[in-house]
Amino acid sequence: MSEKLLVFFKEISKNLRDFFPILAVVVIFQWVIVGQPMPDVWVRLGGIVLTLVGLTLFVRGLDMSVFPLGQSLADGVVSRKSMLVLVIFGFAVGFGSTIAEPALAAVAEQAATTASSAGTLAGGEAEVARFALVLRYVVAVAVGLAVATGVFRILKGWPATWFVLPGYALATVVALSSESPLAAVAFDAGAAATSAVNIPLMMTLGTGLASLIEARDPLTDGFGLIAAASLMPMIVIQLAAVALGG
Amino acid sequence: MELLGTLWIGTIGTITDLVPIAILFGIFQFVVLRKPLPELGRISIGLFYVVVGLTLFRTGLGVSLIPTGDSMARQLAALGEPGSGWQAFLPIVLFAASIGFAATLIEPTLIAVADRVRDLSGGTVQPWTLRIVVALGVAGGLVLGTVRIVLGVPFEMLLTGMVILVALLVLGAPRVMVPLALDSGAIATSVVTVPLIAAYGIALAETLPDRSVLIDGFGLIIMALLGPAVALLLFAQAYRIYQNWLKRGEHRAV
Repeated sequence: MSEKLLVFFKEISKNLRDFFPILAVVVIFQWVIVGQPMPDVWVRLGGIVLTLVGLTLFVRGLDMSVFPLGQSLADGVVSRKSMLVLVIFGFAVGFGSTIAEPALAAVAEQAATTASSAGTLAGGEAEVARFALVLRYVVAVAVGLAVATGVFRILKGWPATWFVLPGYALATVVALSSESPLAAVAFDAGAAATSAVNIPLMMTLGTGLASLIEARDPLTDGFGLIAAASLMPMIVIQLAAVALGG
Repeated sequence: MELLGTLWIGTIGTITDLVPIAILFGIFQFVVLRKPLPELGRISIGLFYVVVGLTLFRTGLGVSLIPTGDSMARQLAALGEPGSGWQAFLPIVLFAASIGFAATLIEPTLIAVADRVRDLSGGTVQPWTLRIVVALGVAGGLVLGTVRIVLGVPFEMLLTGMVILVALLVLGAPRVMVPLALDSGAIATSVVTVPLIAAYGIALAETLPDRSVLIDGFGLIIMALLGPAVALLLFAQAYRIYQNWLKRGEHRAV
C-alpha cells in the first residue's frame, strides 16, 4: 500500500512539474505586464493542487477501469463480426463516454450562464442548469452518431477525409446562412466534446476494427474517428437551434 | 464546511455522469457478450478513483484555471484603452499564444496519443515533435481568434477562411498524415486547455466595448482545434520538401 502511495505521489509531483510552464506564463504576464498582485492567489494555488490531484486520480482510475473494460468489450464485439452490433456499440461508446467528459461539462456550464446573462435564455438557476445538461446530452448523441457512422465507414474502407471535409463545409455553410447566436457555442462545444474519456476509447475501437480489414495502414486506422466526433455536434447543435427557432 | 458541501454535490454530479457509460458497458458485457466482469476488484477501485478524481478536478478548475483565464483576460484587455493603437492589444494576443502553447504541451490526452503515434508510425513521428507542432498550432489558432475578438471581425468569416485553408492543405498533403492532422486539434483541446480558453474568451468579450458575449466570447476553442490541423499539414509538407531536397542532393553527389 505504501509503495502504491509513493507511486501516486511521484505521479502528482511529475504533473506539478509539467504544470510549471502554465504557472510561468501566468506569473510573467501578471507581474511584469499587468504589474499587480494576482487576486485570490492562495485560493488559486490551492485550486491548482486540487486540480492536479484530481486529474492524476482520474487518469489513473480510467486506466484501471473504463479503458481495459472498453478494450475487452471492443475485442469481444469486433470478434462477433456483426455490422449491426458494431454500429450500436459505436453509438454506445460515443454517447456514454461523452457524458462523462469534464471539459464539455465546463464549456456547457459557461455557455448556459452566458446565454442567461445575454438574455437568450430566460429563467433562473434551474433553467440554466437544465440548458447545460440538455446541451451535453445533445453533444453526446451527436458524438454517438459520429462514432456509429465512423464504424460503418471503417468497415466499408472509406477514407475519413471524405466525411470530415464535406462535414466542415456543411457546418460552415449552416453557420453562414443561419446567423444563429448559438453558432460559435456549437463549434466550441464540439471542439470540447472529444477529450480524456472518449478519445482513448475511440482509438481502441478504431484499431480493433482495423483488424477486420485486409489492407491496413497502422497510422491511418486509429485516426479519423475523433475529427468526425467533434464535428458532428457542431452540425447537430446548429440544426437543432435553427429548428427550435434560435 | 462550504467546500465539503461543494464536494458532496460534485460527487453526486460525477456519479450521475458516469451512469450512462456504466449501463451501456453493462449491457454489452452481460447481455450481448454474456461474460462475467474480469478483475472486478481492480475495476471497482478504478471507478472509485475516477469518481473522486473527477470531482476534485472539477472543483479545482472552478477555483484555479477558470478564474485565472477570466482575470487575465480582464486585466490585459483593460490595458488597451479606447483610442489607443494596436500595440495596446499586443499583451493580450501574446498571452493567448503563450498560454495556449503551455497548456497544450501538458494536455494528458495529447501526451498519451503522441506516444501511441510513435509506436504506430514505427518511430517516424517523435512524440515531442508532434506535441510541439500541435502546441504551436493551438497558439496560432488562439492568436487569430483573439485578434478576431479584438477587431470585431464576425466569427463566421474567420471560420470560413480557416476551413478553406485546412481543405486546401489536406488536398496537397501526404495522404498518411491527413487523418492524424484532422484529429490532432480535437485531441489538443481537452481537459486543461478548454476550461482556460473558454473562460478567457468570455471575459475578453465582456471587457471589450460593443462585443456580444454569446457571439464573440465563444469561437476560440474551434480556432484552437483548427490551428493544429494547419500546423501539422504544413509541417508534413515542409518535411516532404526537405526529404526530396536531401534525395536530390544525394543524386548530385553520385
